[in-house]
Amino acid sequence: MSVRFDTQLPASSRLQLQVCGQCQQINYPPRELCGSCLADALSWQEVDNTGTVQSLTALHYSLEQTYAQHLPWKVGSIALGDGTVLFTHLQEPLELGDRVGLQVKEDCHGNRMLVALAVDEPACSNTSAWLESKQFKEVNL
Amino acid sequence: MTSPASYQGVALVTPTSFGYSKTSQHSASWYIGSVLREMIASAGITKQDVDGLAVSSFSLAPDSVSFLCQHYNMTLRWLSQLPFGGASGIVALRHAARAVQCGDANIIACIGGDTAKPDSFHELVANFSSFSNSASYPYGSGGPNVPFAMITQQYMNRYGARREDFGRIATSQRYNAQHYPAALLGNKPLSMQEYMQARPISTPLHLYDCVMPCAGGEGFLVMSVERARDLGLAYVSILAADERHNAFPQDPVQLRGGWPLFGNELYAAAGVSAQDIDLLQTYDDYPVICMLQMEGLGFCEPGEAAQFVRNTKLTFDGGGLPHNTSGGQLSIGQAGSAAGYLGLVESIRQLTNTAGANQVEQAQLAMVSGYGMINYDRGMCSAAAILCQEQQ
Repeated sequence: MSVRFDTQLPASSRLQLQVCGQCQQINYPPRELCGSCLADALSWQEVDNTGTVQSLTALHYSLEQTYAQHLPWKVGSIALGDGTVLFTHLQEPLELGDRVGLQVKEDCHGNRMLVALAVDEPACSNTSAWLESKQFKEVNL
Repeated sequence: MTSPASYQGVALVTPTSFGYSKTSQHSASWYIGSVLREMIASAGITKQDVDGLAVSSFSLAPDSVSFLCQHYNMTLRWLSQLPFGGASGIVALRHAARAVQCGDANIIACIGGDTAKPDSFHELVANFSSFSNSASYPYGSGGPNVPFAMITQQYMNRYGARREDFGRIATSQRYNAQHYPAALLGNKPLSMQEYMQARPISTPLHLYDCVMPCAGGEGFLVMSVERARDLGLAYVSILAADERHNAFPQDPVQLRGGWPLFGNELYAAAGVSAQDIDLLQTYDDYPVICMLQMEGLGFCEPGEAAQFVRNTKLTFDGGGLPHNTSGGQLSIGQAGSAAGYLGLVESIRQLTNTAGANQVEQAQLAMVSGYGMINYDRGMCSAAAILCQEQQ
């Protein structure tokens, strides 16, 4: 069964977030007005995709079948350099404090998702195998 | 920032808990109306005496509080619908108390009530908020377990709390629930060993860190002290109450709610200190959140709640700090918005000496705390009130 999640992420494999044209604040989760200055001036722009795993969980229970058949499923809370916090799918075996690079992938239902991938050895050596095992694909541009 | 004016002259009466069950085919309006009926009977008044209604419910749609007037065939002059989840009860109390003080209404029924159909929890969390829909639920679809697992993991990492510390909260509450007949899990004792060996849900959260969704209702009436005395009702007064929403938004993980922003003022307004409090009711959607409330409301220093629960008996009869004396939602069940009224209703019972087998001896002062509405990675609403027993 296909599951539609509207993450609102643009069609790009590189991390794009809403940036305010008036005050330059990065906004996430997606919204229509800048949360900092309330200007109607947000546009999706490429931002520095490096961050740190500040917390994480391994899900052993999911409300959706798409995950329930692949448990445990790891999710990370990633802090970017400016303090923006993003929940992402988390490459194994990343741990607390690890540096990550965020990319946008498509899941097996075509939903665009944030994925946190290792940037330091040795975890990053298995990146493509991990993506394949979780059925993540390149974003269809 | 100014401090709230006194709540003098306001009485809280007829604490009522109704109809807890794991699932239900009834509507939310059935639960809310049933609580109303029970409270009217307890107070010895008629339906016509009630002129205000404050309601919180996740499952009332497509109805709203205005439609409930026609459901219950009432003409009211004061209505409020408060969608603040676990903070709803205290926010309702604050609004209703002001209305009574100012003469906008005479008797206000404050009610949280929700039904629980087999798939209603899934439906609620799969479409909880726009932020949650786009940035939380797609990542594993664990619902609120995901942000609370993140908070719990970070709390353990930062402060050295261990699973056993959360277990002390869960097992003490289960003991309390064994003395509160309406608790849905009250007939299932919970040992520390069982807590530790429970299956993982969303690490580090395991089964007994998570609430069981259910149906039920909670409510109380707000009226003037004069009216309560005329009716011969045992009542409780409000020494202080306050709330904050989206406190400390720059904290990367929510390791404190809004309580540190007003906790000291709360005690100053009440003229008491944390050491004077006889019982504490925290919002216990997950044990770590109880700890944030213990810290934010001055029962211990920030980051020291794990140590505090190691050294403090939390059972209703343990002689320490009686905490969530009816078992909390971890042992009663989480009846949607009613869970945001549960601690308040239980405190009014305790302070009017009507609690039953779980009665705390010589309970005169209660701290009640609320927390609610996980928008994305944190709860938006924090509230607290200090309540005081009044002698007849």
